[in-house]
Amino acid sequence: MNHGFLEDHAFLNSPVHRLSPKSKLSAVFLMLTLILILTHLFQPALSIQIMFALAGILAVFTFLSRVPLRFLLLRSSLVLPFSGFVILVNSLSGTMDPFQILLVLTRSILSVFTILLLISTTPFQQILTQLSRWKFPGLLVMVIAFMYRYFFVLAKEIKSLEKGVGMRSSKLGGWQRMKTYANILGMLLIRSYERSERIHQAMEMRGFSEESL
Amino acid sequence: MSELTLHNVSFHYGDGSLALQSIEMNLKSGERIALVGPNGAGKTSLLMAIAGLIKYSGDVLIDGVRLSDKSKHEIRKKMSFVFQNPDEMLFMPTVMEDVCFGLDSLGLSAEAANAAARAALSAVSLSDFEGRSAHHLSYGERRRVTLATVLARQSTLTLFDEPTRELDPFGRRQFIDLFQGMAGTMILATHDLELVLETCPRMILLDAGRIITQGDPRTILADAALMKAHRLEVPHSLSTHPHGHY
Repeated sequence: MNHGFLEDHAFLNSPVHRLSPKSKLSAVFLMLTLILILTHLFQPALSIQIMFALAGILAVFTFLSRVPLRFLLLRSSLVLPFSGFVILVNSLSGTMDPFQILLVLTRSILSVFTILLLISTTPFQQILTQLSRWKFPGLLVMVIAFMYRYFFVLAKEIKSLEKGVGMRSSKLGGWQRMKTYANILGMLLIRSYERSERIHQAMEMRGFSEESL
Repeated sequence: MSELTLHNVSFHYGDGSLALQSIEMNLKSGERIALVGPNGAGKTSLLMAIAGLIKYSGDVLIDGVRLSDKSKHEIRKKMSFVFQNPDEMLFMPTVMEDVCFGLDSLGLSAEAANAAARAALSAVSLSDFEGRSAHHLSYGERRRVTLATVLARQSTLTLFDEPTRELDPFGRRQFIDLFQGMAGTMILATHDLELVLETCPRMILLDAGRIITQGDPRTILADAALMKAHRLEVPHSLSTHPHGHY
């Protein structure tokens, strides 16, 4: 997994790509706010209708952007296990009707789809620059930048650890496999902690201090 | 250019094992010295101690000023450290921002910082990479960006930790050319013994946290028995044995 996993299409040339990061980010914030507050403003049935209208708007922008719909849908679907868990927990406590289940699903998919469309049409560094221009807290922008920068470094490490496991034991049973992956996770946590320390040291060497933020 | 003195510097890891033991060292202004030793000899720990990144006992003096919690911020303005792994040094969204990072702490205005960064990127032949993200670059290119971060700071003392590790021969040659053109006092921790022969008039052989010997690399590295005793090899260019290094 590399940055192409998310940024593959960010450097295309389309009307949506040519829009300024400021207008795209503003539109995304507006869209996310709408998605979040809809249920508080309208009845569930109307909320779902509005949600579909929003989906229609996103579909138009997706078409204009030339980002493959399949690419966005596949990645948006990664949120489904999390939504499923929320639905399951709430259903067990008997607080969800079918409308609300549909709302949770559409809300989560639309939110992720919106963010993915933004990332697929705007290089990440432009998003960060815009957030800084809007005077978002420096610490927050830095954390987002670091998450993005190092998520893929970690993903690469997981892959190489996985390969190492695969090379040494191709047929692991269920329990053995879980144990091995727990070890990989533990190893990754230790490595991440050590790496974060070294990054902090590298920053310190170049004059970074908490006051720099 | 900075002068560096280490007096009785020792450092223990968290588990109590010894990483550095009573290190005495002196570098004249503008001197280039190599730290050589097997894995775990203490090379990186020594660089970390000089940079004030670990808590050691003893004294590190840079231009006569003792490195302490109070003085380290001021002293580090003269100093740069090139880490083993470029991914740990390049964390900003673009190459330009990475090279500019921290230049404001040297008192440079935004314009001066940009000019310094551009000159540094040009020196490492990466002028066209200003707006690129470090994670989109090849390993060799990322290495060169880390060198640009150092060049932009115009440090008087630069520490290099395994700078040629994982570089292809062309990248290694590029590093050597850049290194030769840099000014200031420099310490190079490396396993690349040919690099030592080519770039450093003096070397220190470290093992198990102690200085074993120091002096002219041509003499030390040619000593086959000494090399073998410290899990090293006589470099090929000094080897007289027709079929091996011993």
